[in-house]
Amino acid sequence: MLVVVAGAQDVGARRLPERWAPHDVAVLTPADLATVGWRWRPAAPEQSAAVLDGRLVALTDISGVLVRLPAVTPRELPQISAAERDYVAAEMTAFLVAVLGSLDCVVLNPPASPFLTSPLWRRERWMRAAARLGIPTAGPASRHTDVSAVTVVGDRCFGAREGELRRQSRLLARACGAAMVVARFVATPVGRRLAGADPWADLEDDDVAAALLAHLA
Amino acid sequence: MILLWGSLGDGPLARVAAALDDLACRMCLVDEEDARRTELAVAEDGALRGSIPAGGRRIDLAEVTAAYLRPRDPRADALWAWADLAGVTVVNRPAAMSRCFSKAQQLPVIASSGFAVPDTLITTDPRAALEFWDRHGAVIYKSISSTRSIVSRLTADHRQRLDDIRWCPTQFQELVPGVDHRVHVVGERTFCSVIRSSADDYRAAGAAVAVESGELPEPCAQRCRMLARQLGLLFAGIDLRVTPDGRWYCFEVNPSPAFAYYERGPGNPIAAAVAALLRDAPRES
Repeated sequence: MLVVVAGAQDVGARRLPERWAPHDVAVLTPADLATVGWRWRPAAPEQSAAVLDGRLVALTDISGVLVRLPAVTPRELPQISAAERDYVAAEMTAFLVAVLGSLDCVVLNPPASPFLTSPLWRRERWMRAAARLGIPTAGPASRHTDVSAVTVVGDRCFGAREGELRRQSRLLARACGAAMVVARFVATPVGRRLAGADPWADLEDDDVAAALLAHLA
Repeated sequence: MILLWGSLGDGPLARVAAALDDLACRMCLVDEEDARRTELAVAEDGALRGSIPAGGRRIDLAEVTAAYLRPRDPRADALWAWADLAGVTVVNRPAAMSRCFSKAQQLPVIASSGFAVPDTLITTDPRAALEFWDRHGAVIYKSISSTRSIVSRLTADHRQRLDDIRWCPTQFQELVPGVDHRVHVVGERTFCSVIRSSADDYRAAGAAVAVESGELPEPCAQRCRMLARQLGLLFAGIDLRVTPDGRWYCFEVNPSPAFAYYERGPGNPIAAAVAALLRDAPRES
């Protein structure tokens, strides 16, 4: 089974079970974590189970995970009393970080505590990594309107046609050790320059969605 | 120049500041408001450049040789980012502290260091919790995240409320009998406190507690140093318990220990050790 960890409002993630049919795909939202049935024993993975789309699934039956959520936020938990929401969100996040980090399958991308996925670096870290790789970077402009995104999934690249941007994106993905990265380049008077990167691939892009499935399955 | 980020109203920070003063170290205290006014830029060559207001003037971050972080609110992004990237000794790097956010995720790392870890179940299933309780006889529950929580033993009263765990994954652990030890690792040094208390959580208000300096067997001290290193921590508070049959358990690692409590009495000059670590810190490449 493939699992997509996503927020309740993530339309692209919600469409993946249909898009990736006939693979068995479940979407795990924070609401699922407030459901009877979760069991996680680090000393006995074979006894651990998740509740996905109302189904009880052994963690050992999960063959791949795509993470679309940086953390469980209080806003995702309307069913929890307001006074408890912050605490429950932190607990659910800490739980998922541990569970996702313990799985013996491909996770795109693995959690980096306190986040459910990676790399969620601050801008300065991306800029420094890029500078060390010889990738030209953009200044911290408040708003960029002309952004070109390059998505790296494993060895494949999607988005901008410019070979140089693809080469830089691959370099960046390799440097941060992530199988999936979206590098964002902005137009400047001296050409396109890196403004940042993140793990939020466009799931509405057929090629990207197919590459993600190929990488997970 | 040693940067201290936090408030002198915070016990650990005040003690480290006093210890640095004793060592005649130059330091600057950065409060929450100053931290928010940090200016930081990454040059074309990847070098970090920036400044921070402190004590009525702006300090060039290039002057900082080491930093001790005890912010209450670390949302001052630029300084938090600097602390992760700067080529100076930082106690502790934000990324390393973040790695300790999930106590559940710490468990395999602790186990790999050679300590025993308590059997653990995290569940939303009341039946699974009951089975776990029956298996172990005595069980505690505590938070999974770094949110401060009091470790509590399951009692008959909880049986009525166990259904509540359906709303949130809850961490249960077998109750390990024995004597608590709090070990502070500061660089390569270890300081051990022995805590005698009949409470499930000796930190709980009202618990009768006796704290004294203790000796840690060298293999245990080595494991503590290794564990801190594995987690990327220069300074760590490690919670251990030794069972009546001599087995050492480790429950969790605190990446920003409030150590003042354990400095009572001689033998545990933790603040002085942190100050020396900051003073002697080599610049990193």
